[in-house]
Amino acid sequence: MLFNSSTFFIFLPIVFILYWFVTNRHLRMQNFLVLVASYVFYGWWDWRFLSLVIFSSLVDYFIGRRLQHTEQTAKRKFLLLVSLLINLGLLGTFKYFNFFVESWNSAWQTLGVHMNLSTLKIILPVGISFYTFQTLSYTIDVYRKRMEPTRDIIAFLAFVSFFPQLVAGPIERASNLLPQFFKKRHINSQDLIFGSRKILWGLFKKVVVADNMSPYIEQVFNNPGHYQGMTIFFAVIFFAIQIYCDFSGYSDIAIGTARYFGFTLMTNFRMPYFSRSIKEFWSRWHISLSTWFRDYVYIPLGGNRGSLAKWQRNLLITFVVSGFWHGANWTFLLWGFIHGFFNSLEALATRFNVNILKSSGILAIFYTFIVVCFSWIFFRAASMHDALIIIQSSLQPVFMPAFILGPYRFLVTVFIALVIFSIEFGYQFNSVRQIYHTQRWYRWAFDYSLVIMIILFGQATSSEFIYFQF
Amino acid sequence: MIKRLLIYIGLLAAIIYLSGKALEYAAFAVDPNEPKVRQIMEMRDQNYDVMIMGNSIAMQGINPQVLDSLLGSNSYNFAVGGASMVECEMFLRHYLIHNSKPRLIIIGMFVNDEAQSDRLRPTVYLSLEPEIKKAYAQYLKQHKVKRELSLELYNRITLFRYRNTLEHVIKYMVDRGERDFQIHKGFVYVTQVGVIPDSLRQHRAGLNRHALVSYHEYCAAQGIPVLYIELPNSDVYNACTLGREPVLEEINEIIDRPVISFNNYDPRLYPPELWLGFNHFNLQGANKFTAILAAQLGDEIRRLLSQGKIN
Repeated sequence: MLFNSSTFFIFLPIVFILYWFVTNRHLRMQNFLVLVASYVFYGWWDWRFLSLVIFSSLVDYFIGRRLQHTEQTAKRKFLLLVSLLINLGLLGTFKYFNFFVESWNSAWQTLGVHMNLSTLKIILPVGISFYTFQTLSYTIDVYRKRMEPTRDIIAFLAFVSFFPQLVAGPIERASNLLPQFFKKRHINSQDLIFGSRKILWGLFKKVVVADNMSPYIEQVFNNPGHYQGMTIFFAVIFFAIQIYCDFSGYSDIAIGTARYFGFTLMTNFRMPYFSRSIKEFWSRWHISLSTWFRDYVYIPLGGNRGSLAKWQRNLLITFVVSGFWHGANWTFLLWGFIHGFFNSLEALATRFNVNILKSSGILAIFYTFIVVCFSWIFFRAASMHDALIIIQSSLQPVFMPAFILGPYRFLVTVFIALVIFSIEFGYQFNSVRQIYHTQRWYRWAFDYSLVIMIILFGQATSSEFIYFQF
Repeated sequence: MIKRLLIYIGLLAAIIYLSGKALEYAAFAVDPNEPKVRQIMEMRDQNYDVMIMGNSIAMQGINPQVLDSLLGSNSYNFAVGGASMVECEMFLRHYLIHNSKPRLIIIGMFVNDEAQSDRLRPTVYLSLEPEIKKAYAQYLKQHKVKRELSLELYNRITLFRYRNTLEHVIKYMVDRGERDFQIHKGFVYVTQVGVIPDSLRQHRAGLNRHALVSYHEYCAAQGIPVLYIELPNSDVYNACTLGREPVLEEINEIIDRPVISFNNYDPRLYPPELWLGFNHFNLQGANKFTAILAAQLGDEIRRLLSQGKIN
């Protein structure tokens, strides 16, 4: 089920009413309702893949329970290994198997040997990367004795499959979300207002901004070599806006929806395009994933301890793995590598005190945006070959952008890009934030503008969120 | 709290309503299709013997007044900008409920676009009689076309229904002369000359086969003869359209006779001052084309008119 579909807007009030008016006296009943609602939400897409969510959850539930009663280090390690193998095995089969087979075949082919290992005809279960990481974080935290495993299987299953964030995050830590299933939940008008505003803002970002950018980007990226110069410049900028609004829009709707049910999810985006470095970008972009990698990959690798070389290595490994998490393609690996590389450069600059951009905020923001946009080319291109053609074409001196789908659609796209930029830019200033938070009429006018823009420019046909494919 | 919520919702509803009304007003002022659609949908007890159908090319290309003066007929131009074959069929079905059957339909075919949809514009759909809506639903079901929820749901909101008007308003502001239209007997005309651009991106011709079959069978069932014609496009436009021949052959096979195409012409016949862009005529161009149409097909039209059943 998609957040931007009419089905969801029927589903949500039904669950809300049952949750607060039928099951509100019993916490376990509420949790059970959340679980059922979550499975319906997920099964709406393809009920067969529900078995994977349930299986993955049960594995970690029982391993967590066993870990509680096991003190021997070797046995604990073994249990953790079982969880890792099963979860990453499932992820690997569904997401990476074909990539490895194809890479293996083509590697031999370059050596002149004809290998023909066949690939599997499987589809990627929506959200598998998200719930796998969520449930893994639970087992790892229990293994590290950072949290007590739960005995309540309903609460645990509901935690893994919690429908607002099941398919595209935020990837919640067990330590944040799971305890909320054991506390009596309350809702007041402030929660409802907060939730509604978050949903409205998320919906605006998705159906107005992201979905309007989409046709231009698709046309350019699906036809590498057809467009040059300024057209590619616009397509890349539009993609930067599209992916941010699509993904952060999803997170906002998830956070708002969760609040309707008395849950608080973590912030996943904090206006990342105003970052002054790539390092800062990653503290503001997909925060739930970047902190996951920090805690479960980067720090276990050694983090910034040890020699400078080791630090650089750890940074690069973490970012390349993060790229690989996004998709089974060399383009994602390179995307991760670019971020790792610039992170390492910044780390070096900090270590040797040669941060030339530090003095200028605007220049630093510009530098970060350029690097991020450059990396998005690899992220969006279908293959490395396409990405290189697009980069090559972008260097052609064509200064007039192509008005794909006509000048009006182009104007609307640019206008919407300017609107989202102005809102986020304005929100950087304390004075603007203060007006927004203290003046009711200002807030209302803002809400009304969003509604009007959704009606006028929103794409009525519900399209999938980009991050579903990861 | 409840009071504040009510004020919030009330204000929002008022803003949406008023903005919708403003856009509706603008739509009628700058987009010829809206007043035209309303005219057609509200027609009652009319008795036209020639019905001209098609999209904007026919809407701006065939002048009923000229046709009538040359053939002695009583015709009306029912063509609407962007109308698909399905839309033409639904127009006809709706028209026949409230008016007399025409003795002949002249329909302007447009094949120079690959995208031939099954959609109806919201303002048309919402004005259709319930049985026509059912027929449309049946058509979609039969051809496994997904029904758009927005047509039934979101389009009830006037602001949503007229949201495309913004584009017309901007175009009107940019180029008022080319969009200052007048309507007479359904014929929409502009007197200004529009510049034909030098080039256009290559695109493919296309046909919505099941829509044409459905339209053709419906007219046959009603006993209304149909003349399928293709109006001229500018030579720039023709040069950019690929794969026209197979599409025209497919149409010929469905309608069991050749489409009468006016598209292969000597460019001197329609000099630049008769055009309003790539494939639309201005008043002068439409008058000239209608005279040519009447001259070439006059005998055929008269013959069909005499054959057409009179209610």
